[in-house]
Amino acid sequence: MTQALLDVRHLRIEFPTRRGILTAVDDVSFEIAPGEVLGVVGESGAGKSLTGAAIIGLLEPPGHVAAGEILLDGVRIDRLSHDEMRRIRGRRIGAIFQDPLASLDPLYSIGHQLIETIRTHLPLSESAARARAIDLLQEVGIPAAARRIGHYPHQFSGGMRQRVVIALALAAQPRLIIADEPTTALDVSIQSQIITLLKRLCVDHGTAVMLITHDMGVIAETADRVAVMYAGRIVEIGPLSDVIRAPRHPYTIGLMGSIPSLVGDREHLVQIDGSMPRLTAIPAGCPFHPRCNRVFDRCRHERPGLIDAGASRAACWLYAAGDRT
Amino acid sequence: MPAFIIQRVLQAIVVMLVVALVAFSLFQYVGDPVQLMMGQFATPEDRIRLTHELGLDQPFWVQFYHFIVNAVHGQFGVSLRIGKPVSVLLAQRIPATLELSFCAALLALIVGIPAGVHAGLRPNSWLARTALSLSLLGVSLPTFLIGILLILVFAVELGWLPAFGRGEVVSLGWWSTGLLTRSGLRSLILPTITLGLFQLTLIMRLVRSEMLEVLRTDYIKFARARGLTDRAVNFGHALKNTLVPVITITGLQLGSIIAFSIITEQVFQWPGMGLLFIQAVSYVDIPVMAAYLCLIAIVFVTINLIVDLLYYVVDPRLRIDRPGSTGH
Amino acid sequence: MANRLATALHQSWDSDLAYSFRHSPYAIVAAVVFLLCVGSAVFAPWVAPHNPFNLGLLDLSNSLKPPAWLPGGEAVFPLGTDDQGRDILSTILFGARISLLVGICAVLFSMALGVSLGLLAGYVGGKTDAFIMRVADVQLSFPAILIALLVDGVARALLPGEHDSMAFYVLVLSIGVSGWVQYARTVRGSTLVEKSKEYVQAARLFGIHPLAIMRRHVLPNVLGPVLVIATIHIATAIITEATLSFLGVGVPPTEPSLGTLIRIGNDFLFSGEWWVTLFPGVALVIMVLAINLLGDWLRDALNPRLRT
Repeated sequence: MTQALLDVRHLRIEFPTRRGILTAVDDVSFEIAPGEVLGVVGESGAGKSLTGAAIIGLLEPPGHVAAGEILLDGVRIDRLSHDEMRRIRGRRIGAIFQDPLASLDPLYSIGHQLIETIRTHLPLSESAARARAIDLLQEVGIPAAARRIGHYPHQFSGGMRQRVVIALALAAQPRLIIADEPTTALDVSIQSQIITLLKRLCVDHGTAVMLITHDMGVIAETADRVAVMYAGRIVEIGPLSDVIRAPRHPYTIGLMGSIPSLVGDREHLVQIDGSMPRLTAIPAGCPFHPRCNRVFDRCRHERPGLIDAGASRAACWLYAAGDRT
Repeated sequence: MPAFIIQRVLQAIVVMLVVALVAFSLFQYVGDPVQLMMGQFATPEDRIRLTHELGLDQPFWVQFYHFIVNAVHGQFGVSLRIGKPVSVLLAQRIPATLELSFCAALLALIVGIPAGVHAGLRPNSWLARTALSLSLLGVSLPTFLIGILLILVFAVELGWLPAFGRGEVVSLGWWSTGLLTRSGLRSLILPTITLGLFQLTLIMRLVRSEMLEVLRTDYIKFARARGLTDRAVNFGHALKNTLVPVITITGLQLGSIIAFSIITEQVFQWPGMGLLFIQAVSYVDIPVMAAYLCLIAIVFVTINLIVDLLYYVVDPRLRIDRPGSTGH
Repeated sequence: MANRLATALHQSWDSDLAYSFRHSPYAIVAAVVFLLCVGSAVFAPWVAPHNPFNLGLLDLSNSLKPPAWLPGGEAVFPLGTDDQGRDILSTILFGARISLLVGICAVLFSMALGVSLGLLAGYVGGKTDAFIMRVADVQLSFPAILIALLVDGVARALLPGEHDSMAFYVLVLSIGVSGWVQYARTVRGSTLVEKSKEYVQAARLFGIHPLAIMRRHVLPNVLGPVLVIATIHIATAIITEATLSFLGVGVPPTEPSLGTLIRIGNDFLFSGEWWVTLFPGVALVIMVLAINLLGDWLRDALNPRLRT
């Protein structure tokens, strides 16, 4: 079995606040294989973006990695110096954020920003870098790339800007891209274009993607595997088809059931009572237990780790060997 | 692009006209215009003649028009206090004020901007914290008090620097400069610091807070995510974005240096326009007040115009027409 | 009732604002100093060791005495005396009174003017808005001190002879007029934001009077920023008044403010009697510094983006 590209082990992210220490991400572990698309889905505040930020080393203080390890190609990257981490960013791990207009410096042409990124990581001359930039723009589907390379971000529409952002993220050919809500700020009609583009590029370049989103539809179109996060933890992780068609964890079951469908005989949308707990008030035991319709005694006292349940794993005592009451 | 410039120029003209109107009203309704123009020694025949010449029996707008024509030619009448034509007085005093203002502005920019950048990049360094605390003091010290303190320490107690006047000046044609003599330069030091300190702290605080804001934006985050060097991120992207709004405010601040010079000139008895103006206000010397007003207005309007144009040059978002159509 | 008050007090003590205050040493010190200044200024007639304005009590033989700790000084005049034999400490206390009074009144005037115009411009929109903002822009391109000087000068010209007694009102007017723009702009911005919110639109549909809408919905939302502006504005206003008085166009020497005192004392700088001008100067700086610190703290405390 090939070594995992990214290996996150027992990651914990804490925020010291005046009300005490908040644990925003608690004991999160997962792997991403080379070229694979891992969808990370969950509600706002579940800890998805923070996990992504920690991996690329852009966690904003006072948040910090309190425990755990992050390994890239088997080497720890969570304790590197500022300069070493900088060299990894862009070159080995790239990132895309939510708002494409805000992601681009308004005062520089996109050509300048592309060439700057390319030349930071690759030893190319100005003209070689420029040629490569034009290639990238064409690859992401910007028409008349050679002419538009001198244009400024505000001269592009939303969808075009996100394409530019993708081009920028891929400029130094990283092997992993952290895409944090890449389509949320876009028009619905553009969203699927961008997602298709992202998927195609990653297949072409062999780039792995950690796709963070709250939109299950996006996941369904793109991901190979899915991780469901809840209250700072992973509650289920497994292959796409399994998690979608045969979810194991009651929270995931509720999520899937709440998606409207144009086909099938779904008459009622499932609704999960209550809401995700605030970080200051996470229940003991399994964090989902107050809202779970299959809760039993063990759930209230012991916190479950990820337990094998068929092809996927779920953090639920329902799947512990033996004891089901 | 032309539309932008034209609009700004038109606005400038409107402002000038408004100021002229205010100055004109001063002339008309406060005090006696004939006396203002002729001084106190006019005979009754002269008064009647001038009244007719000035068209004081004419409608308001006609008189206003004449006023503007006169103003454009530099004719503001005679100073009530000194008895000389206002334009002559002003011409004598402008170089002193401009030199002082220029030096103070230079000081404020050369020290303020780098200090602010540093404080923004390294907000927790001792230098930044000290500078911030001192800047709070700087904003709390009125300009005249700074001047008095400086005089107390450096002129009275230590005797190193002169406390008033310009020192020796050299005439270059119509201009007189203190920059070419030793005593002139020495005399410039304390007033420059006094005048520039306030602006310096203002600029420093502004640059610092803008820098902090910019460093929190998504494009800086994305630049870091792309692995750009610290230098590229901080100076290439952050600094440039910081300076764009700073330009406007700095420009306006520098304009206000000329106004604040009034205070400094009073403290150091610096023979500039400001001192003239203050004496005019005390004495209710209307012609001087009106002339100063118009002059200041020109200066400000010009500075604003230049700042607007600079903004235009620096920020590409203003230059190119908005898209909407291009690409999708 | 007492219960509700206690709860309210407890809640506000526990609130973010109070927390931030309790944990900021600068804010606490500044608040204490400020309260001391205000207290001693308000109670000056009772707190001051002498009454410096009772001409009958003045003795010229007391003139220009140095501070108590220097040779020639007397303990009864702790900070020395001026050329008329007035105790410096007392003149400072009374002067601070005037300075504060002018500052606060000017700010209130400015606030009233600016907030109303801002509400008007934001709510009514259209030509009114454009006009008010144009005037604001033009005024903003001139420094406040110049505007204050201009208004002051015009007032002097229009009221020859009565100027001294009217000085206070003229000052409040001139400083007030020079400062309304910052309030107007902020309030206008907030008004525009609130105006587009659905509940305001609903209220308009129901026919609720615009003034009531503005008062109940818009006003509470702008109070925070306005308060920050006002606090810092008090400091600026005090400085402006001091400057105008120093220049000779502010408060007259019969009832001097700190600025006037500094001006009077300036004449004695070169003959070595530095205390006449320095102590009022120090008092002014301390007062303004305290206000600025409070204003800075308030601005940071009310800024939602700086919260962790």
